[in-house]
Amino acid sequence: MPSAVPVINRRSVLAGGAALAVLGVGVSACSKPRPKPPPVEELLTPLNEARRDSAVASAAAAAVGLAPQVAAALTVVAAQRTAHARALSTEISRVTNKLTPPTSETTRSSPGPAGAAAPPPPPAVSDVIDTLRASAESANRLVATSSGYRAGLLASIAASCTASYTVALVPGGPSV
Amino acid sequence: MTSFEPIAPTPAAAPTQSPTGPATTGKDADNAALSDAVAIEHSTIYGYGIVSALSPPSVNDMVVEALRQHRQRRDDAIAMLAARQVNPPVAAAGYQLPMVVGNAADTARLAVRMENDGATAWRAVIEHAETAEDRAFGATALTQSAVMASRWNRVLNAWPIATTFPGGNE
Repeated sequence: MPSAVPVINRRSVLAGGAALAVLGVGVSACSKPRPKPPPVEELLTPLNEARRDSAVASAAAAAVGLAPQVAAALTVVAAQRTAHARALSTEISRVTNKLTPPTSETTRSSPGPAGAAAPPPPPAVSDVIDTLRASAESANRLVATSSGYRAGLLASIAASCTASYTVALVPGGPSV
Repeated sequence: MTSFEPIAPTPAAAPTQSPTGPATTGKDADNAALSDAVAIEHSTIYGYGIVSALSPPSVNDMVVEALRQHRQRRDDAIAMLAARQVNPPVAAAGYQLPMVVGNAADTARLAVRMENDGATAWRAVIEHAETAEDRAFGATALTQSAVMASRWNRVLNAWPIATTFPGGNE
């Protein structure tokens, strides 16, 4: 299919005005109103979930006493959820044609007043598993009402979250 | 498309499309993607036969579970195509493995590769689907493939265990 385009262009040049008329028809056909896609706002939920999961996984990875492979897996989850957020941001920008807000404004909480109590303990691995499960379910729900690239992206993100919370964060199993 | 090449495709396997109409335009793109995914499932089931033959008892349960998943998915997808009067692709008589498989670790690597090929095919099904039912079916297949690939990665101590974008490369 892609190879058809340059062929048409070359023939357009050779055919001169007749081809321009044909191209004009093509352009006007392309400018017809298209079916309205689902609102891009629906991607804000998985975007915020990806940012939240990344922050939770990062905080959990900092806990003392974790098995090294679990800490490493949590760090991977944090990076992967950041990559998911980036891909969702890109898709939102593509649709809305404008920049999305900066990523980290809401994830940095203020350190609190001086002399406040000790910071809360880092989240447990089970908290990360729970939040990833919720995110996978949320993304999969949107797959049904999305289409095209967006549906594939959401399903891929859901699959990645599910693989992380059912396998990557659960050490053990057979080996060869 | 797939890393598996049929050694001796049967004549009926050559056309993966309904004989009527072009393969990739508009309405038929969903059936084309679904047919491609069935072809991948055929080769994967064949490949898991090799995995089963050469892998150690410690992973028997995984092999059985994976085979059951792929057979069920293949049969369901074939039924979906048949319901639309599309001739489903049939299995080839044999397939060229995409890699040398000589020991237990190789079988796990082959399994990872097959699951990743499946993830790619099922993501394409999702992106070309015309109905919510097809998208849901594809999403289940994509998640199962990603989970099974991760389980084989864990068997291999391969890292990272889960991929960031199963079926894609954003």
